[in-house]
Amino acid sequence: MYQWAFLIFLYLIGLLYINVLFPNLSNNHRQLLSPFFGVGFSGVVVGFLLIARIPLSLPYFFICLLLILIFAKILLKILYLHNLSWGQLFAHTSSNVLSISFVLYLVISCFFVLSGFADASPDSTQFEATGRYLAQGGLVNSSTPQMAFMLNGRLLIVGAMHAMTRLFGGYSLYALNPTMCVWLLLFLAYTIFILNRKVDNVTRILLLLFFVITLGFYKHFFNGMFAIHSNQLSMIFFTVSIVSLYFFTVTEEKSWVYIGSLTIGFACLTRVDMLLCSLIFFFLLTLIRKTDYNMMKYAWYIFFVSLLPWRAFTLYYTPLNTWYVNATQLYLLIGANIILCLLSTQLHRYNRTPVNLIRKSPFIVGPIIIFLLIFFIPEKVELSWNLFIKYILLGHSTWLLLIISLIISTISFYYIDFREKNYYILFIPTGLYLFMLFLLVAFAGYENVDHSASRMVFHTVPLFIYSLFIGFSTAVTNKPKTSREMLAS
Amino acid sequence: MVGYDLCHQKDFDCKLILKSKYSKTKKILSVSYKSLFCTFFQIISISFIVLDNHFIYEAMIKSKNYFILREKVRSFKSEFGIKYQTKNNSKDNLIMNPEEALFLRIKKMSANGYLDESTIVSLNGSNRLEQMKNFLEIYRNSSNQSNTIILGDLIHEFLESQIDTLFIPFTDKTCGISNGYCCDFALTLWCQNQSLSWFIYPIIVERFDDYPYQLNENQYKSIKRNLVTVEGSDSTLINIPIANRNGERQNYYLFSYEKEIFVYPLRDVLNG
Repeated sequence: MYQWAFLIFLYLIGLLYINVLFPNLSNNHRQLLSPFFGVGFSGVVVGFLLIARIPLSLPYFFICLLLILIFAKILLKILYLHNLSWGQLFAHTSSNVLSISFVLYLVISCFFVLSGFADASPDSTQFEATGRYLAQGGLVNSSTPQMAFMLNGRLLIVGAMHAMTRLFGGYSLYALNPTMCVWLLLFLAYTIFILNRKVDNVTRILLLLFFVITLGFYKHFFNGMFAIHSNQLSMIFFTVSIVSLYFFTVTEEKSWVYIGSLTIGFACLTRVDMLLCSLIFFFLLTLIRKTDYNMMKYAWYIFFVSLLPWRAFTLYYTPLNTWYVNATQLYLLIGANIILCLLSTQLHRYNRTPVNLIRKSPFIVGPIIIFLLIFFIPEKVELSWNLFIKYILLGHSTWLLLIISLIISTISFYYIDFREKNYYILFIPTGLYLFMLFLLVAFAGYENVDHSASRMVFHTVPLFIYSLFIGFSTAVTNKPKTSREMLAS
Repeated sequence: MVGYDLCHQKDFDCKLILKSKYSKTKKILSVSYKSLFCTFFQIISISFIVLDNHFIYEAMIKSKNYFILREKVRSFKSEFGIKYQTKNNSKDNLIMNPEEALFLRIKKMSANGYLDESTIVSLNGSNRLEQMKNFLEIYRNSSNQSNTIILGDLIHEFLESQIDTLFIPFTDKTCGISNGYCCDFALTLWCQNQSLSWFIYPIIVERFDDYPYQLNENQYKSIKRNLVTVEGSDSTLINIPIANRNGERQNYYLFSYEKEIFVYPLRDVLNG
């Protein structure tokens, strides 16, 4: 039951933070996003304590959590963004607690805690060990065995969650991933329901149920959510960030962009390779015509503030030559984000964003990169072709079906893209992500050794299925205009 | 004859309207055709995802036809060079004979292992026992690294205040430099044993093999009492002494006897 208390705490703390940061969002959206925020901010606090070389304990954790909350509130007041008094904030949060959403969360989390079901892999033992190390007062120390691996491979967010469970009196963490995955499913289902407002209620509900069944019982999602690993939280944060961008284009509410940049920051704190996904996120943000310079600037600020302190800290302890992620790879990933930041902000600063050209750029730049790689390092391309394309994507039946589905849906992509201009945001990330994984395997893969890219394809699954359903509903509901409507137009 | 109802002016205008309506009707039909075409492909795409449904899969694998089809797909893939085989896909395959790989042996074993419940309840209480049982259920036989953390968990639960340094014989000499990742100890594999240092922090873990870490029968009999015994992965029995929790910290060593391991002070073993 201690673990259940921890999961409830995550919801409540997320709710408190989201009420401070985004009070203008609808109540349902805040409730549905709060567990994800709870996980993200708890991880950030653990990271802050580690950087400050303070051993992890509940009193220090709560003090730090409160300090960050106060800091965020003061900052927002200075920026004249929101000015909610403390009284209003706590009243708001306590009224939110008495909601269907919270009760549903209690039921889901309790179910997974009581079921006690989890799927442990070799990596799970290391996440568990990292959590124990931190909970037992361990600090980042160069004399500790495999510290660079622990920092870049097992921290921050997942290791922190395991540590917090121990501090809350729990024995080992296993219910977090299934709870969060089911909650993501509910969040996505709710957004599908909201986005199809023009459709009659019966169709909406049928569409929602069809989506829940399709994604919820999708073999890899259904089984994968029980795994004790970092892929689940990375998948959740990545999906929420891209869906937030899509929501921004629909509602024109700026908060969604900032939610997206914060969650993609959390994704990068969960797994270091998610720094590739942040490139996709900001690339898509650059493409949105409604994005202005200030919005772009703040989105990057939020991303870097959440990410850079931890990454700079880990860089200090990461040698140039190590078997896991090395310092050069970290510099490359962070450097790519900084370059994209400079490019995208400057383009928006002078209002000269060639949106159409950038939109087409993946189709131009992608083949050029492949051509250059074949020319300069053909052995790496061959390795990635064999390991990623042949062995992972085409070799595993589950990914093969996903790829066939992706190829078939591409045929209808152009029609839907014509009807729904923002569909690009949901559909393209899967293709871009797979291309990036291809490059990742080329540069960080080894012959005869399995690569985690097999698990990483999982990150894009909910987003892809979500895009299929948005595409499906667009195709179905876009009835041709009547002759009178045609005449009128 | 679309549009005649609106066409009641001059003949000239009427012809224009009709012409325009004709082209727009064509457009409507074309849009409708495209919409149908698109919906069809979206449904096909979703069908591939629905096909990969957990319950459909569970039902399918019970049928013989599924295996026949699977073999056909696999041979088709191999024929076209689609399935790329890595020579050494898993760390479990580090041992020479793949039949002895842990993950293969694990599949043959039952999930329930021995747990010294009465001793654990008397030492740590029934609530802790339930939590420990759940932990063991999740991790036991899950991988070649699970024994490492089950050992770590037991040390943390029962000996945390007793041990200063734990000596483990997992050195390059005993494990082999090339196989540094895994050690064959007590007839099973102990992999990624660095996790042990994280698991039982602040206890220090030292790799050291200059002590008789393999017990003889007499030593085994003399120390096999007053212990908490838990079954780890691969039927390994992990034995932890019930020590005086208020006693002084001392160094403990890891010993093995057949498929059993012991965490014990060296002096007690030698004296025993």
